[in-house]
Amino acid sequence: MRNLFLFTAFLASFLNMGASSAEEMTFNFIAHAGPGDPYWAVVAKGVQDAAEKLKIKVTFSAPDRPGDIAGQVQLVQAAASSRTSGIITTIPNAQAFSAPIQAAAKKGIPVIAVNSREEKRDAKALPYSAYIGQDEFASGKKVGERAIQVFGLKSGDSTVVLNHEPGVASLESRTKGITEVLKKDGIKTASLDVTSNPTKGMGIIQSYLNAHPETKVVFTLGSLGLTPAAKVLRDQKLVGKVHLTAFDLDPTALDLIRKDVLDFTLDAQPYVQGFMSVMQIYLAARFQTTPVDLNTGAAFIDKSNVEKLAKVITSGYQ
Amino acid sequence: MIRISKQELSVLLTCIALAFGFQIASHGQFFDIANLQSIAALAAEVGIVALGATMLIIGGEFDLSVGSTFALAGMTFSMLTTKGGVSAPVAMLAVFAIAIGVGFINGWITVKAKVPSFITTLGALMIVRGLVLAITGGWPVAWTDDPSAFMRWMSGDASTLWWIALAIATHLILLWTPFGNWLFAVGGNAGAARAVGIRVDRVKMSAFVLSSLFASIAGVMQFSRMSSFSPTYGEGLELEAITATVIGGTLLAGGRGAILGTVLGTILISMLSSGLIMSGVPVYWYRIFVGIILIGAVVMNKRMAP
Repeated sequence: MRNLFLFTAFLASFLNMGASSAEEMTFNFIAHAGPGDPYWAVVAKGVQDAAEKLKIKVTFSAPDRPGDIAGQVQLVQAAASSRTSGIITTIPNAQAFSAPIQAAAKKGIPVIAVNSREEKRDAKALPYSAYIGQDEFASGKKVGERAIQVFGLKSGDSTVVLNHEPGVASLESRTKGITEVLKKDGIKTASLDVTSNPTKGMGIIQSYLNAHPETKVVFTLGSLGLTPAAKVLRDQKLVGKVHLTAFDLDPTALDLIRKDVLDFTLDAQPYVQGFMSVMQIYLAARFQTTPVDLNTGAAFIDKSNVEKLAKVITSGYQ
Repeated sequence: MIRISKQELSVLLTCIALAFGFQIASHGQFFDIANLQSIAALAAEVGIVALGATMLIIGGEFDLSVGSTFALAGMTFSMLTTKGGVSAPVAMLAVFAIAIGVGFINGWITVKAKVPSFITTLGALMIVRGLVLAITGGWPVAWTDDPSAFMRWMSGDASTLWWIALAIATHLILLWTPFGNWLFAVGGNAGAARAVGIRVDRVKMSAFVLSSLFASIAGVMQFSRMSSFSPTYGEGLELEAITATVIGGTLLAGGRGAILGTVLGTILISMLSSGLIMSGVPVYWYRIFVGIILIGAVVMNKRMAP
């Protein structure tokens, strides 16, 4: 009887140990901007939901100043020298992140890149195992292809890409993707700096459309370009005559799709970026699986599916 | 009532020359009524902020926080009227109260602690912008109904009228009221002004409050125009307002300046972006032109200074 009791106690403690070892697994998620930014708030929610479902601990951290590369590198370094089970990080700068990621790899800590990475894959300098996020260039191409297909663009047609922050790598890559696809079919594209001041942007867009009334499609690259473009199309009664596309999803884009002003938007699915990166790093750390790349910039949202998504968008899943 | 100084005349002539240049380069599209109307309407926000900046610069101080105050005002108004269900006039009163608070604190710290306004308002720029980001979590606010009567009354061609009305008011204040006289005196030589019994601190603090108030009106105007407001709106606005003021001939060191010049400076900048696009010049050139005109204007002012 006593033995049986001891055996059960032993068995129980063993089972408990198994459970606690999974609970004790802690991971680090390191981003270049914090949840003060709506985009990252959604990523953080994905991270947190996945961690809750897996019963693991994931620490979300970001430098105090968004985009502070030195600060973010320090966070990655600190994580690599701690007893972490795995690191998920954005890579806004290839050179700066090479040393800490190599250090982590040497210690056998699995590393996954999320959201942004070097332009040209260099697995030797940056030995992370997979990338989960939007491939900006590929997404640009997707938008271009869909525009050709949906709007029936032909050789000789004119379009314009509105850049609200010229010089920002992700926006330039999106532009490059769009233009490459259109040029192949002989469709003309111009690029316009609409600044991040929407009122000034309105003036620029209005002047451009006055001077180029043949424009068939206006491509915007984010909310700061979309707002003034939509306003001009509505003011000038050009809705339906000039098509409008966008990237990302926020309440403004949602509203414009409902009102038939915005034809479609391509969403980078930040929630998926957070959720899936945690899932994959957990599998890699616990079962030694190999994480796989995931292009999350795959979700076109238009009138046909906007209502289904509206509810989850407002509750922070998109 | 309106005396045109040499500086203002030179800005006016530059405007006219550029307009005719654009008319030719754009194959006659520039002088289209709709285009001119849109140039004026879209210049209204920067124009109104620049009116406040001109008064403050004449008084010998700067306000770098106007872009952030603009955002705080637009955000407060949009959140109160959309999520809060508050009526537009009440929301406007709340906005004014906040703007007066920001302007008062800027002015009070500057004159009482004797901190250069460059530093005080640089700090306020970050603090107020941080507040806007913290309150909204970075999310934009969208007005999804048709624009309300108040919003229509604050945007479109009505915004041009507001700008003109406020420009006339500030012009009169500067030239026909004691406050205007004090402001010139304080900016020209604060010590001398104090010696003749002008309450320098009060005058400066009032100018700070006016600067914030004008920025807040412009912020509500941008929300009304866009039917949405993003927490990043108004970034860099302080420099645009100062640029328009300086191009218009106001002396950065204080003591001299005029509203007409600032209005012309604002129109000049607004005309440039529109004209360059219509003329088919790559838009990346816009900033280069504004920079050249800014430096050119100051050089001219120095040579023409009495």
